[in-house]
Formats: sequence, structure tokens, C-alpha cells
Amino acid sequence: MTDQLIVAGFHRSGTSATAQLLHRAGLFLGYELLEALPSNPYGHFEDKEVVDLHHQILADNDLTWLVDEPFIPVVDERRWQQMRQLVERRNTEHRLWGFKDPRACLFLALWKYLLPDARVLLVYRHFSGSTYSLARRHSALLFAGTISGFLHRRFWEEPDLALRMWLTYNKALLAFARAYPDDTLAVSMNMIRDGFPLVWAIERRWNLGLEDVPVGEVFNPAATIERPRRQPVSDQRLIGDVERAWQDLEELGARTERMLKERTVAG
Amino acid sequence: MIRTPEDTTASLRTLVYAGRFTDKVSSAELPEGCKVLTDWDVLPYQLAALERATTLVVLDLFSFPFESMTRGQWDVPLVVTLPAGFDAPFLSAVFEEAVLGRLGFFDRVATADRDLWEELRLRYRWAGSQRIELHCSPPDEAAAKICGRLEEEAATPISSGEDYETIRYWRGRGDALASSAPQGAIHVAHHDPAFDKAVFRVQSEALGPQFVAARGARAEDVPFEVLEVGVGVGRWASKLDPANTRLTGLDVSESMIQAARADFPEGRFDLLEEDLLFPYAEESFDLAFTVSVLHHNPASAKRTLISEMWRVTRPGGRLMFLEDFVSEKRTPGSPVYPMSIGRFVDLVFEATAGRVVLEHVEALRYPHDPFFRGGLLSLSKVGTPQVW
Amino acid sequence: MPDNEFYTPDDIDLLRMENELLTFEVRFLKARLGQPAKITGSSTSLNRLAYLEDAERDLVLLLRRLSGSPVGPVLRRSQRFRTLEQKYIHSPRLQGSSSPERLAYLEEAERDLILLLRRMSSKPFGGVLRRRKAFRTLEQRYL
Repeated sequence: MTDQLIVAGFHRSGTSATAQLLHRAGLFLGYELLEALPSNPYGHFEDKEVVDLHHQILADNDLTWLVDEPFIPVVDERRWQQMRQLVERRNTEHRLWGFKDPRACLFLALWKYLLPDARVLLVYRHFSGSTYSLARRHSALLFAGTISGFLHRRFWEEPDLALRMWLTYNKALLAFARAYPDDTLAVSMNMIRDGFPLVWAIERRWNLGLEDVPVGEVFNPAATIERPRRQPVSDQRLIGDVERAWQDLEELGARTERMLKERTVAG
Repeated sequence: MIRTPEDTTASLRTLVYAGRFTDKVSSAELPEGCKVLTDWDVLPYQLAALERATTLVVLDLFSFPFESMTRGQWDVPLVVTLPAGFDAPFLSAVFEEAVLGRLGFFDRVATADRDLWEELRLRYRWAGSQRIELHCSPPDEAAAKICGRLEEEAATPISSGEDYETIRYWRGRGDALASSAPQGAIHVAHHDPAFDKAVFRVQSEALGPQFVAARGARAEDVPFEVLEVGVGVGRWASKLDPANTRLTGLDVSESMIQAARADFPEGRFDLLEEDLLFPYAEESFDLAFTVSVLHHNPASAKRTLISEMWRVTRPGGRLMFLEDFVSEKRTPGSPVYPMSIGRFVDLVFEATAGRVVLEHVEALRYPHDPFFRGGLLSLSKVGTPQVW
Repeated sequence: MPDNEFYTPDDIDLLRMENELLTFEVRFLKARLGQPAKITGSSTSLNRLAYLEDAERDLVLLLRRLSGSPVGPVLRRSQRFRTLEQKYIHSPRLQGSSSPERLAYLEEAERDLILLLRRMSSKPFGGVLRRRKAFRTLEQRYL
């Protein structure tokens, strides 16, 4: 029997640092991992095969990763086959494996269908931090002229794009967590920054056989930056949904902390 | 011709084609708004006048030029009088292609012969309520009886009132109309019957191929288990073949359920309680669908219904929604809760935790309407069977 | 509505909602059109074809064994099991190297095998079945 752990969280929410931690703890994350970029000195730790597959499914649906509204995908037989082949290879070669890709938030139900025993580590961050970091990253890339401007320009042309994306991705995570509460563990970037014993918590919960690695070894708070002002929003109708999503995420995080306390007391 | 749903009782326009019986029928006392047509009046170039009718009564089946009717003219609800003295095999052989096989839920059949009616009803999957019972009447009396019945149905008052509450409204509508005028019970206002039939046609044309796709390949002795949510008086039962399909229908209106049971005894029809939870086990159906129901419900009810539809569908089975996704802003008392397609997809994703993939999307434009208003979504449920 | 051929839409909400609906439909149509045409020849690799043919053979064997076992009559009460029997044991098998129809049939067989194994792997059967090497091999190969 094999175990799988998927690290899912919106872009710039701390998933890279989390993935690096778990990688050090013994979680196989892929055969070809993406490189570090200036905006994320600790590396992406994204499995290229998984990222490519997610991009392909999005492209099939005439979308890029800039998904700012919920969508139900068309998934044709080719993509199911690719997913199955990906799963088959990793199941054959690794007792414990996973992947980290923010885009996975949009496809968790599909992965869960192919991997009924998979667990999901849900990583979340306050919308103001995520969206500010996302905008900074893309303006840097845009000015550096390193990649095609089209995607990056959208963050400037559509003022609420990052916020709508945050909402879409996190609502997808919340829907998954509601459907599979026993297979989801939610942590916030703040919890990790404040020293939450993540690997220990995962082991207490699921006993996957990871080695404990202190968070401080991989997470440098100086590498993240919070928004200096309040979140700007153009369409005020977003506010209610965004605040509700944030509250629901915090409730999940609190549940994680409670769970940990109970298990600690129970010894 | 653009017509609106509210071209209704004040302008009841029943055309009565008398053909060979014109002399007798012309002297009959027919309600105001009824007009008798001779065979000269239905020459092909004259048939355009039909499109302004609310109903077309055909007393002389043998001489009416059905083959010359256009699609728009077929949208007018028909009442056909079966000629006396002929059996079902004869009538089917002669009239099936031209008219009998094309009659749907919003059309009627007038006959005095109960056995003939039963035989044809089973063959063409008509609802019991589609029959207008005659008593060996000569053509003029038949015309008067049919027109009188149509006038009565059109006159039944229904108002939505100031305060629309979904379950109370539809129960009230069912109580008032389910047995007397079932074709009218299923819409929010007393519509022009031609509008209703046209909408039904457009929806049937979209749903038909999706029902076939949902059925897929299966063993002959394995029936296709279908659930309709908001079944009303059972109009969609007429589109499903009872030989290989088992239809279950749910509705909040006891009166409508009873009408459905009377009209389609092969189906199973159950009452949906106010909590909107379905009285069925997980993974009981191959297809769960709903037509023009969710847009009459607020978001919380929509979410519950969608979630329940997902729960009772087998993995690999289909969920289908045919709703209005383009609506005017809601006013107090309105029976419609506008929801855009984007917001609906959001709701479906939430209610199913994303455990669906998209199989088909179709935007629908109804004949009276300049906008594409309706949308059909067909989804497959993703998951591993939990039930053997 | 003016009684002529033209009208001027003036309800912004209706226009916005209609635009959203039509955009949604177009996106779906693009996704569907982008799928490889099933009527053209298959480009499935020989390896994949061999794998699928193995899956079909394994499925037929498994169904035959289940059918002939003491639990066969019990299983046959399930519509799903009867459908599988009808499709893979009682119907003539779709032959013909790598035609698109045969490929679709084999892919469906693979899906059905995976679903069947998943169900058998779960409670209450899984523990008992896993004592048999043949079952463990199938699990390993397909799950």
C-alpha cells in the first residue's frame, strides 16, 4: 500500500516552504522539480509533470492558471490517462509520495478519485499577503521582461484579479475540506512562521513515516512580506465572500491546533 | 412572430378546423374567441394565421394538411379529434407520422372511445390528462365541448401574491390546477399555452440527446434509473421509454404528485418534504435531472437540492440542470431568483465539493425571446462506488 | 416590443448575464473541439495497447471467476455486475487490432476493471481477498 500527501494552497501562501520542509522529511515530490526564482529563494518544489498536466487541463478549458472564478472542467480521456500513468509510476516506485502545486486546488476532487487514500495538507494565507506578494512577483517579472507580458499585465489591467483568484482557489480548498475532513489538515503561513510543528502534526494525524524537521530550518520570515496597507478592492461585492472564506480557513486552522492539543494531552 | 408569455386569457384565440363538418360546426354556439376554419382557410399559404392562435382544434383529421405546417405552427397546442369507427392500428398506420407521433404533453386528444384512447396512450406515451372525453358527440357538440373546456381552463385565476415562498406557492398552484389544468400547473403564471409548448419543444430538443448520452451502453435487462427533481405533473415522463427506463419523480406538491401518478402509472412519484432531503439511498440513480425548478428557489435551497442530487447519483452517472440563467432583477413577490451561470457553477462546485466534470453545455433561446435565457448543463459524477 | 424587426436592449443585467452564459458555452465548445477526433486513427503506443489488452483479459478472467464462484448468484443480483457480465462475457468481443472502436472498448474495460478492483479492495472483502496472491497482483498492477 502506498500513501500520498498533496500540498495545496493558493500561490504565495507558503506552499513552497512547506513543500521543502516535507521534502526534507522524506516526502517524494517528483522526478523533475521546478527551479527556484528570485521571488522565491527557497525554490518552488513543484513537480514539472504535475504542473504541466494541470496547465494542459486548464488549456483544454481555454484557461490559464489565472483562474478567477469557479469552473467545472471538461476532462477528456487523454488527461485521465496521463493522471493514471503519473499515479501508477509513483505508486510503483515510492511508498510515500506527493506533489505540491497551487493549481492542484482546482483539481483536488479528480486526484482524490484516482487516489482515494490521499491526504491533503491545506496551506493558507491571508488574502492581503497573498495578493500583494503575487502582484509584486508579477510586476518584477513584467519589468524584467523575462516572460510574456500578457499574463502579468492582467494583474494591472484587472484590479481585483488576484483577490478573485485567492477566493476561487481557497473556496475550492474549503469545499474539499468539508467533503473530506479526515483527509485534510489545514495550516496557515502564520502558524508555520510561529513555529507550528508541522511534520510532527502530520505524523500524529496520519502516521506517514516522515522524519521530524524543525520548521525554522526552511522557513525564513524575512523572505515573506506583508501588505503595508489595507486590501484594495474595486468590486465591493467581493468583500462578503472573501471575509467568509477567510473565517472558514481560520476555523480549519484552529481545528488543527485543537486537534494537536488533544493528541498531545492524550499522549 | 414574437409573443410573450402573458398573451393569455384576455385574447383566447382558439381556431377550430371543421373541414368536412364546417356546415354543422358553423352553427354551433362556441365561446367568444373561437373561430371556425374551413378547408379553404388551411391552404398552405394561409397557415401562417395559425401562429396567432392559442390552440388549434382539428375536428376533421383526414383533411387537415399537417404535412404543410411549419415548425412555428407546430408550436401551437393541438386538440385532435379521433375519427369514430377506426381502430388503433388503422389510425397509427394512417396518422402516426403526420400527427399522432408528434403529439406531446401540451396537445390533447378528444375521443369517446376509452379503449382506443388507452391503446394509443400507451403507444405514444400520452398522459391521462391529455384526453378530452367526448360522448359519441356529433361534430358541433364536440366543438362546443372542447372549446368550453379550453375556456374554463384559461379562466382559472392564479396569482402569485405579494409574498412568494417556494413550497407554499407550488403547493397552492398544484392544488388549484393539477387535476383541472395540469399543463398550466407547472408554470408560474397563466401562460399562453403556445408559449408553454414552444418552450417544452426547445427544452426537449436539448434534453433528448443528453438523455441518450447519459444512458450510454448498458445490458438490456438493466433499466436506466432516472430521478426528476420537481417532477410536477410528470411532463418529462412522456419523453422517457418505460420499457427501458425507470422514472422516479419528486415534488413538493401532493396534488401534482397525484396527477403524475394518475397520468403515468409506470413511474414512481414521491413527495419532497420541506427539508428538501431526498428519501433515497446514496447512488440510487444513473441520472438525476431538473428542469425549470432551481431558478424558482433561493440559493440555500438550490444548494441543498444540488447536493442531494449528487448524493443519490451513481459515480459515473449524470446530473443535468436546465434552468434560466438570464433573468430580470428580482422584485418582491417574484417567483424567480435570478442566478447567472457563473454563480450557479460556483454553487454546484460548492455543493459537490468539485466532484463533477463537465459533459455538455448548451445555451437555449426560446421562440418568443430575443435573449438566450436558458442553459443546459450536464455533469458526470466523479467517484468510486460505495454501494455494491 | 415594437412591431418591427429591431429592438434596442436596455437592461444591462440581462446583457451581462447573457454574455456570461454564451461565453461559458463557447468555452465548453472549444474544450470539446480541442479533443482528438475519435474517428481518426489511434496513436496509442504499442505498449499502451498491450497493457489495455492485458487489462481486458484480466477483467474477463476475474468476472468469470466471480461468476463461477459460490458468491456468483449473490453478485448477479447487482445490476452493475450483470452489466459487466453482459458486456465482457456474454457479448461478442470487439476484435480488430487498434481500430478506434476497439481502443474505446479497451479503455472502458480498463476503467471497469479499476472500479471493480477498488470495490473489491474495500471493506468487507478487501482483507480476505488480499490473502490471495492473484488478487494482490491485480491490485498492484491496476490500483
